[in-house]
Amino acid sequence: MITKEETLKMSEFAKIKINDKEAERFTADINDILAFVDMIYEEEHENVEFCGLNNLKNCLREDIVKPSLENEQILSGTKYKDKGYFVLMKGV
Amino acid sequence: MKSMGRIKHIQDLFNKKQVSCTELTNKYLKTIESVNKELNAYINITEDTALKAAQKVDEKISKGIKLRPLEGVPLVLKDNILTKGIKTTCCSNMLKGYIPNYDATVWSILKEQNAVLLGKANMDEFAMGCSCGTSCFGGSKNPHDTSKVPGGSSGGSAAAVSANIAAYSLGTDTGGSIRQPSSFCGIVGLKPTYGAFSRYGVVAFASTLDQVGPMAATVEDAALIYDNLAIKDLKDTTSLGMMGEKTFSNLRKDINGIRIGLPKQYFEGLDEDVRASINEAIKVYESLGAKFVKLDMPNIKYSLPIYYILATSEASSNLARFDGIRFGHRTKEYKDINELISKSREEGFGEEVKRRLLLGTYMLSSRHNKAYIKEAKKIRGATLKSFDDAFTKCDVILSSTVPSTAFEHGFVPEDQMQAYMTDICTVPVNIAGLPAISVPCGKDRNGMPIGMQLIGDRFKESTILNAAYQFEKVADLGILDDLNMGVKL
Amino acid sequence: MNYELRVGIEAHFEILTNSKLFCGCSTKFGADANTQCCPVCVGLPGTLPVMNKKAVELTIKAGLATHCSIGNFSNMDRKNYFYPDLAKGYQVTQYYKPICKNGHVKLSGGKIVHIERIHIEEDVGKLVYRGNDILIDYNRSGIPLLEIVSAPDMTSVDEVREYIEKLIDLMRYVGISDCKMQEGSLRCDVNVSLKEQGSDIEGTRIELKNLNSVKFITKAIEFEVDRQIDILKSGNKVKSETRRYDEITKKTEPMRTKENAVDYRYFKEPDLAGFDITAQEIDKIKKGMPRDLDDRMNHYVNDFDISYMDAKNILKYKNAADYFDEISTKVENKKLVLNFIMGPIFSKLKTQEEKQAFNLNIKGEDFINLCRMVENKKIDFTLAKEILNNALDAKENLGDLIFKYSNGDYINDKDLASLCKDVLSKNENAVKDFQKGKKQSFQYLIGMVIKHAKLPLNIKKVESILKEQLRLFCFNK
Repeated sequence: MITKEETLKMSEFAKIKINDKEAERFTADINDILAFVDMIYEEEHENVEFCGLNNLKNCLREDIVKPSLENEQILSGTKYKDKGYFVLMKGV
Repeated sequence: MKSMGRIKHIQDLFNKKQVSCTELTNKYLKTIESVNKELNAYINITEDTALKAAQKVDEKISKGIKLRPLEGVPLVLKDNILTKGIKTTCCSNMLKGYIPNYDATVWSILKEQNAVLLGKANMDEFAMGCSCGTSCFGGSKNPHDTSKVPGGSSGGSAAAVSANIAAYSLGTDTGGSIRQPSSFCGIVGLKPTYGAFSRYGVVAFASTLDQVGPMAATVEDAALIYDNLAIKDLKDTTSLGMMGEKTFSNLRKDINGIRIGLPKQYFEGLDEDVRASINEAIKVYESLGAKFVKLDMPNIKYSLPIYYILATSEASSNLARFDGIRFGHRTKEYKDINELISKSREEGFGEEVKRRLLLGTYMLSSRHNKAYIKEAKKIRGATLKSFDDAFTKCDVILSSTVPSTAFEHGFVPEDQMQAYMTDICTVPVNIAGLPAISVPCGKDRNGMPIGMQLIGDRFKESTILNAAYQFEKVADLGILDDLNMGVKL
Repeated sequence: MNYELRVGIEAHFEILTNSKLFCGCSTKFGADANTQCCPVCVGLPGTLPVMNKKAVELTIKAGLATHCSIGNFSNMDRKNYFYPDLAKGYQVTQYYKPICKNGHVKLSGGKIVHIERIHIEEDVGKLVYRGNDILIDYNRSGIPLLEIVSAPDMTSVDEVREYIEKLIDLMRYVGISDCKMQEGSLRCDVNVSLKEQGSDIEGTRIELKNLNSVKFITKAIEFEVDRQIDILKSGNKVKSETRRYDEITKKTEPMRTKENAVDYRYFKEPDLAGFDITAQEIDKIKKGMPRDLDDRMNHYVNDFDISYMDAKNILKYKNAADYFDEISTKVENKKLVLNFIMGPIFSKLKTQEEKQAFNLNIKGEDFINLCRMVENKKIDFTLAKEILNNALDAKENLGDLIFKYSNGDYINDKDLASLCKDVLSKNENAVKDFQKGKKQSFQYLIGMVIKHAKLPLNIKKVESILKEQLRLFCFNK
């Protein structure tokens, strides 16, 4: 089970700001889910190694340069930009 | 015949010059305008794009050039599939107004064939949900009964196809998000084998579980879409393309002697009407010469819990790129980098997404030495083995898609897990990476559609589509016939 | 109380691929901001990585060059944390199955520094501080990095310096990285701890992050040692933390105030399949590698009688060393060849790039010829150097110059005239004899000119100029 403090710690790792009330609510929800999820410990499970779904291996590409996107295109998703750069903070 | 494919029918109308592509497109657009007000299946209507494609198609027709299999047919795309130059939002405040500058591979294949994109479909935010209710644009409605949900996360797609305000759609399925809404809305929904379709350009939820798939009115439509989109993509190294046989040419094969597996775990906890409907479906298969094999697959019952371990942990990492810096929502006021990121995410993500990301972060954290993940991986391996074993004894596995039918808007689950329980039949398929199709097999006492799920072995889409087609033909249910709101073809 | 220093280095090298680790964007340095980017390396939604084969090959090469064992299967992992230069919110690296493990580097005194692992990972973007603004450039995001992690085996600043320089030489020699620290292609994190002499208890480890010059690394370690000794001597404990070195204050400062600040939540990268590394592949890579650097150094020192420093210095430039080997097969005096290369030739190749590229405008056979002539005393070493310099300056072709020299045409008339004049003034008796009519005296004087010339002369020219000089000499008497 998870405590409210742990939920707040997780919100720090996940960088999602939550207030105290939200932390309580999420803690209760997550504990509901964990209570259900704990059923996997009901019995011993065969130790079958999971190696991926289609046994895919060795999917590498040649070291060839391909055209990059135009600078405007790279910056097109945000309005926080200046002279070709992304702007993180202004006037620090 | 009631279950005639829309895609071939539409192309037939073009070829016989009974309607032009532009005329048909306009018909769809007009119908969407009125019907969507009620259904909220579309969150973006792309009139210009649609008509431009339609014009190209009409030029081809006038020159007598043969149309390619999906050419000129109007569709709607789930809004987590990237469309260059066209808003793609995942129905989240985080991406409201986001215009991508490249196409998803699956869309680029359709675009190249002049598929007519009518718009983008409503969905649960970032594909996390089973009702379409977590969308930032409000939920969608089930055309069979607008007081009920269409299901999720591909709810808008299912509603649009069901009501015929789109001939077909592409949705995505991570734990049942194509099949469950297909079942709720009475349409056909196929989740291909993991790796059959490219995931490039589809906003990732859970990398080892996500697949794009067709949602259509009939099995024939789903087959045509599968055959055209199961292509290996060099930009997605988890993709393999079509590793088995083509599906369309195998639809009409005789299924006499087909071995149908019935896992006892799939027949527990079903609604009465659902059970009755599935039993009827079994009788139909009997009449077609199928043989039934009883299966015992105890691992299946762990699929849902391990899904919540694996999917949320992968999602917590996949959604880390949404930090407000290069794209997406950025908070207006922040005093440092930490605030910029955590406030942007707080404001951009809805509650369900936050809940799953927190849970996923917890699953990955070293607090308990990742015990949950280790155990989940073990069970996943065992589940794969169970299915491998099962498929030595049978050709397809039959079950209901969902233990119940569509629930009401505003249904409040008793606890968090109850909300997730509708995925209990669909999730094992994603865990094992297998193909599965949901086919309408009846209606409940309130007229709500019931879906039957057919699961196949890896890359055996042609087997399950063949079995689905033969059922559809014989059962001849016409589940969508009572709906009158959409385009009449 | 005496303390023993323990230093471990995590060195990050940008490796020489043309394209980035997971996409086809160029890795060239110096482009305008955000012009070598694409949806993959900027972490746009829906993108997926595709791994660069060359990066894997170069990592295997690095492992072979440092005597590591190479795993037969490897895959990538995600390291999850948030920072603006990290486009996806996670870095794709190798945590569980690095490609190379358990190698070593030998230092000059015979000291072994163990290498725990070598793995491959993607680089992050760059924060740029312009005035009061913080900007981001993602050109560097996704460039493949090699991380070489040493054991904390180094016990002095000199060992640290030597280790890093040796790593740099090795990476350049094998062709893995150009190690241009000013372009950021080598960055080091340094772990420093002090252990009480005679104690079994290891000291507290401090991590010094992102040092990108050997000078700053050594200065930072020296400061740290003093700082930690002060703390320990006053009876306190050193706090385990991450610090950075401030080049202006010349001090180290703490970077993170919380301990155990980040949980990276490592897990296997689900979007990339693992890859086999077969014995055949390793063999093929081995065959394409130059001779082991240490072996070659020993060969130069022991078999060619070259000093350790000279051997080390020429092996910093692989093309120069290869040229040296080629020329030396035809010349006995290897030291001579080396002198010419590291003297006149290196002086002409002024920059590091030019020395690495080692493009010469002289023909190998001409150079061999010149060396042999010095060896056989057919030409004075100083004169040979002068001829070589002229050729390198592109004043004249080396072959032509040698030919001129051998034919006695290397000296100009003016110099020949003053040589004759000089000889005449030192052999007045012979001049007097000549004036008396003794013909042998003229031959004698010619002989003297030839003797003092130190280079071949054209007899006909000597005769005519000497005659002229004699006339002038006698006239002036």
